[in-house]
Amino acid sequence: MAKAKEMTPEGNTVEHGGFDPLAADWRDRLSQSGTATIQVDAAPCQAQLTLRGDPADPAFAKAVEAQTGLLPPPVANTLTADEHCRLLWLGPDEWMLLAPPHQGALLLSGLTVAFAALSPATNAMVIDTSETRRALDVWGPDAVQLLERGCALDLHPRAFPIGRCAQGLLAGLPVLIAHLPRRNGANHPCLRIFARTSMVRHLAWWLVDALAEFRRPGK
Amino acid sequence: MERIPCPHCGPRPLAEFSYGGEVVPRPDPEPADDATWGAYLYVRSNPKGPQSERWVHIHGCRRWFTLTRDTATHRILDTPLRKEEA
Ligand SMILES: [Zn+2]
Repeated sequence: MAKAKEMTPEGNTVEHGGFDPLAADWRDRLSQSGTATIQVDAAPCQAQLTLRGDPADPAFAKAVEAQTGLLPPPVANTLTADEHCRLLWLGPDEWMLLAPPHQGALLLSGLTVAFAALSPATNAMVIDTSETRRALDVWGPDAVQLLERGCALDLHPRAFPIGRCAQGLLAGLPVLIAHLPRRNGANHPCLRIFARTSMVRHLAWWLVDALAEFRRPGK
Repeated sequence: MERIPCPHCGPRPLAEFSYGGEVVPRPDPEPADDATWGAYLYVRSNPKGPQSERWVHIHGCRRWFTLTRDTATHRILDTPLRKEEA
């Protein structure tokens, strides 16, 4: 199966489950909390597939590339991307595929069929985990300063340039943070923070609270 | 905060990790009697000095690995990446 080549933005609708913990009122609250130097918004909802396999096995890597157009990133805590999809490193044999919502089902069935056709010696697995995480975007010149208030990861662009991702703790929550070159079509880099769907409002509250400090006079 | 060197992610804060205790080889289940299982489950050497122990990068890559730590100084001596952990 060839990769679907539709030119669409990342998509803003929830196509899974129907419940969005960051629905309209939260999007307003987040955008109103922004400052001149930091903006926050709910990230577009995307299909999230978890892939597992041996990156050193050419059969696995080839199957992933044939279905998604992307190779699993060879370096820990990095991602590969094209204009449709992103493949984020989660572990030495585990990745998260981000795709536009309407491509999720197609990619899931394509990968399932492709992996089933591999020899039994090749370990490969794909599962739909779209509802596991919900993401927030933070961007602007002081975005890293804001996140530093609650995160021990070094997110300075010197250590965490575009194309890096990392899992760690932010505001006490386990999160996955990715440094993306653009968000939802707009051409500015952003830090996309994935948290568990059930906990993401805690993160949203924390961001709104932490932003207050940056709105003080003189800041 | 003390930092633990994850063999995949590099040095990360201790809060991202969980401790799995001293490395204790699992007995072969067939010949093992109750005393052997009891020792496997409950008996630890508790050394003062270097100890080989299991850690998991629970809030990071979620992989288990083994490191050697000096229990008196907390100094981490090495983190060999074993084949089954690669
Ligand atoms: Zn790790």
